[in-house]
Amino acid sequence: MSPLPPAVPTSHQAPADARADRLAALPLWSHRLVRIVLAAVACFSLAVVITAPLEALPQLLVSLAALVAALVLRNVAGRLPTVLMVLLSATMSLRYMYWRLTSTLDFQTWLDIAFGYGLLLAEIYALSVLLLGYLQTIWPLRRLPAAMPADPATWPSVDILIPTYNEPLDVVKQSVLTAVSLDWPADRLHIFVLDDGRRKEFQDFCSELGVGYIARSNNESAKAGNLNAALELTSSEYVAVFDCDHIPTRSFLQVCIGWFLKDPKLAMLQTPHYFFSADPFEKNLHTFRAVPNEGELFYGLVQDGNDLWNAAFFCGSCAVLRRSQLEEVGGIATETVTEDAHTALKLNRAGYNTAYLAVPQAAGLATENLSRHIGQRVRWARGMAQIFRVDNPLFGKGLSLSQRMCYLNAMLHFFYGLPRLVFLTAPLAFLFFGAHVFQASALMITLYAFPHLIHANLTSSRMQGRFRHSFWNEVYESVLAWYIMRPALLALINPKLGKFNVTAKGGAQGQAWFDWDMAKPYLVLLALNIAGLIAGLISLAVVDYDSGGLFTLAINLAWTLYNIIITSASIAVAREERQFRSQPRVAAQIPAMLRLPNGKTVACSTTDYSATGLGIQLPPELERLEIGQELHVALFRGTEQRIFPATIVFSTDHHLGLRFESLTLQQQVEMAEMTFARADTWAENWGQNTPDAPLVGLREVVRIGVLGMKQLALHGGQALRARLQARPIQTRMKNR
Amino acid sequence: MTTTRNLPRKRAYAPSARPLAAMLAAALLLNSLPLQAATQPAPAGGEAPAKPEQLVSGGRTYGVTLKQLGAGTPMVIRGVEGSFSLPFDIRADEVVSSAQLRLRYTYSPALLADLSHINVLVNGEVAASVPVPKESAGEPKETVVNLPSQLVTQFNNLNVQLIGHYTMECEDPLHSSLWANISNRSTLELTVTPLVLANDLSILPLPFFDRRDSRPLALPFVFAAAPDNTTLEAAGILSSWFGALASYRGARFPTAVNQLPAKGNAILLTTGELRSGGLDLPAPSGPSVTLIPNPNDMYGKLLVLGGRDAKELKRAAQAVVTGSKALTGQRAVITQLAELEPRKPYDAPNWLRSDRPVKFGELVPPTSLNVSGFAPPTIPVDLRLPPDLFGWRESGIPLDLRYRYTPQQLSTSSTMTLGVNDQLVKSFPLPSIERLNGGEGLLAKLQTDSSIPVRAQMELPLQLMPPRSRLQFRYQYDYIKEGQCRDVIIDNVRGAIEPDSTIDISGFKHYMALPDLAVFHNSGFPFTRMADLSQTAIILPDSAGTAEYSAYLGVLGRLSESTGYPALNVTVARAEQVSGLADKDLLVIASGDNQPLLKQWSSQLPVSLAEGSRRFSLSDWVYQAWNWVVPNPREDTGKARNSLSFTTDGASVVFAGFESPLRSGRSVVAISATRPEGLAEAVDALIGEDRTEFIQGSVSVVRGKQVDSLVSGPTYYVGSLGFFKSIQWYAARQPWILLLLAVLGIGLLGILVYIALRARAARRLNA
Repeated sequence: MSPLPPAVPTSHQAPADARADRLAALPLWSHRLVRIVLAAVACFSLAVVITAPLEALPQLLVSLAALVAALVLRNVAGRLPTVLMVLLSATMSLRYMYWRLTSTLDFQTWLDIAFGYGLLLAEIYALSVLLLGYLQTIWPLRRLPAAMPADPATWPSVDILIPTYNEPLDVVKQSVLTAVSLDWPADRLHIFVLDDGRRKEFQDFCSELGVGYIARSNNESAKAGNLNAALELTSSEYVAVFDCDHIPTRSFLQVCIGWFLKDPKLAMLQTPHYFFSADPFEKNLHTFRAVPNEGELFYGLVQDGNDLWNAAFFCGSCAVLRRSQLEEVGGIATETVTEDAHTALKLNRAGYNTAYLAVPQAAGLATENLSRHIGQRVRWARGMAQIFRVDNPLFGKGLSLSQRMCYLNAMLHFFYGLPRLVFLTAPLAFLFFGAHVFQASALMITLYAFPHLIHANLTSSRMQGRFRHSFWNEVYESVLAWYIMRPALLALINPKLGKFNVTAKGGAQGQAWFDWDMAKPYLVLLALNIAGLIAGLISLAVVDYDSGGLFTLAINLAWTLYNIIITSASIAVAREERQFRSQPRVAAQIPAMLRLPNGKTVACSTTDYSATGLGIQLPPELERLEIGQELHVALFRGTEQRIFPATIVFSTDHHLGLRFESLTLQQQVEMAEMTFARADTWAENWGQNTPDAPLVGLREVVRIGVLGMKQLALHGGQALRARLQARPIQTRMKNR
Repeated sequence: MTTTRNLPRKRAYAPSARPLAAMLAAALLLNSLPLQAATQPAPAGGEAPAKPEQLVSGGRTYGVTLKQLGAGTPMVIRGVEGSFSLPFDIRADEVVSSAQLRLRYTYSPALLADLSHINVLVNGEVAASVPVPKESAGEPKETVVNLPSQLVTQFNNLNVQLIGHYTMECEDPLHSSLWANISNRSTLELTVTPLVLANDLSILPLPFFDRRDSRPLALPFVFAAAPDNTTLEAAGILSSWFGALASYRGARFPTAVNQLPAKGNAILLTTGELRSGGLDLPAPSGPSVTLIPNPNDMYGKLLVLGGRDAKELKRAAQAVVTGSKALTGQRAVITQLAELEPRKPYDAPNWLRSDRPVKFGELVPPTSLNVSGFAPPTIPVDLRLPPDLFGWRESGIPLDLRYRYTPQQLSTSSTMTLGVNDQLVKSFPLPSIERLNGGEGLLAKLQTDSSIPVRAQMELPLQLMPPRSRLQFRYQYDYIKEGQCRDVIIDNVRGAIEPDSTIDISGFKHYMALPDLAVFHNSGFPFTRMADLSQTAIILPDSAGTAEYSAYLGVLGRLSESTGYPALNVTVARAEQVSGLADKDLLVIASGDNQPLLKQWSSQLPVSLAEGSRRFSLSDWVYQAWNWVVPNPREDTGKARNSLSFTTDGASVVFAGFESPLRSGRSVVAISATRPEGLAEAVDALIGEDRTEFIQGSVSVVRGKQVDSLVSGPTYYVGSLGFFKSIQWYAARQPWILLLLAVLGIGLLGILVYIALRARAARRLNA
């Protein structure tokens, strides 16, 4: 049995916790006073453990014992071992920090003071985020959908709001088509496209399909304003919001609304954002579906953990809100650029509940390249910093302490830019300037810092195993660190500052190319770290060190090497892989039937689908079909069957590529029902990546780092040649 | 210039180099004077006893070496006008009838005989000039210099000065060939005539103790009858007072019952009338103090303490030590005694205060913090630290140092060096005017004041600071030579440590591992924790005699030497009273088999003191092994020998320290001699002069000058660390306890968190 819980909540309680439950059922725990006394004893014991200073050897023994305990615990399934690992890791980390604060700060020179306190602040930040993260995710709630009343006549009315601004109709179309096929009483389902682009073809499409179209005269407050304008014009009891590129499944409302009926104070329920296309990391590093992507940790674990503390927040899409309570807090918040999280904060402050349901009931397109990805994250960072400034969750009324902590961590998280850069450059202070950022022997640093790091990694690996692989966090954060730092810090100084505009570069990219612009900060970091490594190696060869000095140098060199790997892995992301199709395909095996013009039918199944085509797996021993041939393809959902006309665009002995040429609107809706709107499409894939193994994660990241170096050499060589040939300097270097 | 090393406390000599101009003038002046034939060569190595006919009845002749006067090493005088000076004092009850200096010296063969000579000065006046003829240069010589007795007063300065020249041409005033070496074995021989002092109590502690006398104090105590415990307490108050006054000299108190000394001074304690042996004293009518001549010696005095009972005797003793300034006349009856504030722990006047930062000005006279010259003598600041400062995981002792110096025009390597007990701590550069890049403003300041204050904040490592420590500040100015005939030394260089500089031990906890006889030896700890010894009980044998009394008085004198405060509240008891003294630290005195307590406690003792059976509990290896895992936080504890050849034959004394069997956290120090006479050695060992081995560890065996020490037996701790620190200290030494605590804490908290979170999750899902 895997120690990791399943990604999608299931109804049966994990038997792993049975023993813990028996333990918890002992009469000892039933008296409140006993519990308080025992908690005090435990806290006191841990305070002693945290603050007891040890010499090298006892510290080593204690660390080894703790490590063995963690290694045993991580293989035991259930929630109690997770709780124990969290406490163990927190103890070791706090022990490190106590030692750090009391025994390593006796700096002698201004150089040491500057670098030393800089690193210390970064470490305090990282520790705070670690501990808040533990609090946030110690007990993912794993909420199951609540059943709807049996009689659909009692179901409430829902408005589906799909805001759009400048996205092409092709993108928006699919969302609207699937929204139409939502399983909900038709008289209580109202779909509205909120077009801030005020485009004629959108209006036409909507009226043809019979869905609402709302346009306003200005674009004030962007998406939030758009939604608020629509809220004034609509009136259903519930509001479901979808970004225009998010495609709901037909079961979305049935799965979500149940909780609102059960909990009258529930104001918002969020579902995961699931992406059926590869984000730039997955695309450029070829890790799609192999390594959990950046967003999965948040939707897989953090939101689920927040839910325990009633601090799950709205993410702008794939969520349902109760209109009355939303209007009570003034609609969607408009003060910040992350209106969604801020709205949830306001709802929580008003005393309403928010919830998270970890069942993917909608899917969308991931950002298609690195620059857009960065642009989106910068907006989040800036928005979160704005909330931190204008409506700090630590202060103000209405929140419980745990809610404050969860919101605080959500915001603090986005300040990782500067600390991350500090960690990426910290050993250079020693290698270049000989600054001693720790006033302690390298041995003691190792003996105190390694347990802190190892336990943090082991515990995170256990908690996040399905949603974030070890060491990938480093890559994800490092790529964004430079870009996220400035807007977040500026917004902290003045919420109006910190705007960051990324020039969007192409949708479909026919060629692979290297995004030198985006990679620039990492090239500098890489160059610095390599220079540091060389400086260190030279001094290793030239300077006559004593054993202590040698150890210090070795630690700094190892740290630098690690930084080089992380930096060059970040650079590998900047090599944009080419993208073949404008419509991303979703791999799925759906039963299908080909009806050839000659009347022959072939039972087969799909390999993948997109909005405009299908991939077909042919049964063996079938004559080769010709490209350009027209045929009909039938798709099945249960016993339902829908037939669509298609053209063969690609043909081998075993595979066919089909394209739909001219589907009617009705056929497009049916096509959506058969494909994107299938209820189980996304949940099957959710969290199904290989569970984490820390050493495998490390190996993968090292591999990516080496890859980054190779690509840098290749593209750098080309860029250099291009420059030597005195061509105009191009930022997009052609690959082939 | 010479280097100073191993100076006894309170003594210093001051060699100095004078500027060339002044020197030349002086040299010319002296050169014009005929060298007086006040010197006479002595037979090599021969002693020249003072002529007996000079002795008046009751007078005496004695010699003191320059070493005894404070010159720890032979003195090298350098330069054209180098000199050193030593103080010597004459007792108040003596006048000098003749004085001579037996000078042992060697001088440079390069000296020009007609210009160069050695001056001997007393109190600034030249007593004699010693010529430096070429023929005997470079070899040790001995000369007796008569010092005119009219120059010698009670407080004197002996100065030896070298006027040295090596060429008639331009010379380098600091030339290395200009030297003379004065041996510290040179002797000052004094013949003194005794004075009869008035019988006036106002001169106390004179004549019993005279600070001008640097010899060890020996003051007989005479009990009119066999003393009881309270009488002994009264005697102890006085002996500790004298012990504190005697300070570095050491004090011994021979004791007699009903027998006056044939000669000299004595203290007499009586509760009845005394009509024998030339005495004629009525029975005391209350606590009284009387000063009378010794009937056996017209120059000796007796301090008679009287009372109708022992309690009144004690009041009289208290009056003498606390109010001796107010006593006048020959006899004083104490009617009223001011109540003294109860002492607080660690408030001994001699100890560095541990409740606030202490200014140097409080420790030494501010004038002693100033020096002049290019290589002035070291400025010493003596400190007595409480021995139980707990240095584990503490940074050092904060020292906020402010000092002044004269910036040189060009010098590059002038320094002020801070040392502790001759170990270098830190060297502060003294930048020249050129290097002080303060610009005009600073230069302008310099013109009005040739010294500028510098502030340095630092921490003195605690392991460098034994309980008796000396801070040493030494200025060394760089002298840049200008070239031939251009060197003019102007004697304008000064250095000063500001009296406002502070040292601060208030941040330290008092906590230490005992037994450690080393701290008993050098600080009297743990008894001296209360300066008035109010938490100390001395357990004397039931059959105590004069040897035990002497030992008791000597030990108390020694304890008060450390604190500088008389033992006003010490308790004296016998073995059968010990059960009521559980809350005190016990000092057990025994000789032979006369102390039943040691038999009673033999199982707790680290060493068997009973005749015949010689048991050792050598638990040392456990201690050593544990030390490897958890190093000892205080380096100076437990470094004693772990083997000991020990016999109880001969007159030997055993010091043994162990935890009180009556109460944990209380200490016992047992002083046990095989024979009563041996106890005198115990006091000698405690005073510890001229010794290389000292009492330390948990057991020390003293035989004559040999001391063997041993660490054995269980360790216990005294003092308190405060709640948090003591837990840290305990846990740090017990990593396994730490693991247990971690398992307990994480396990308990884990289950509680699990229960709480599960309940919360259930609430959320059933909302």
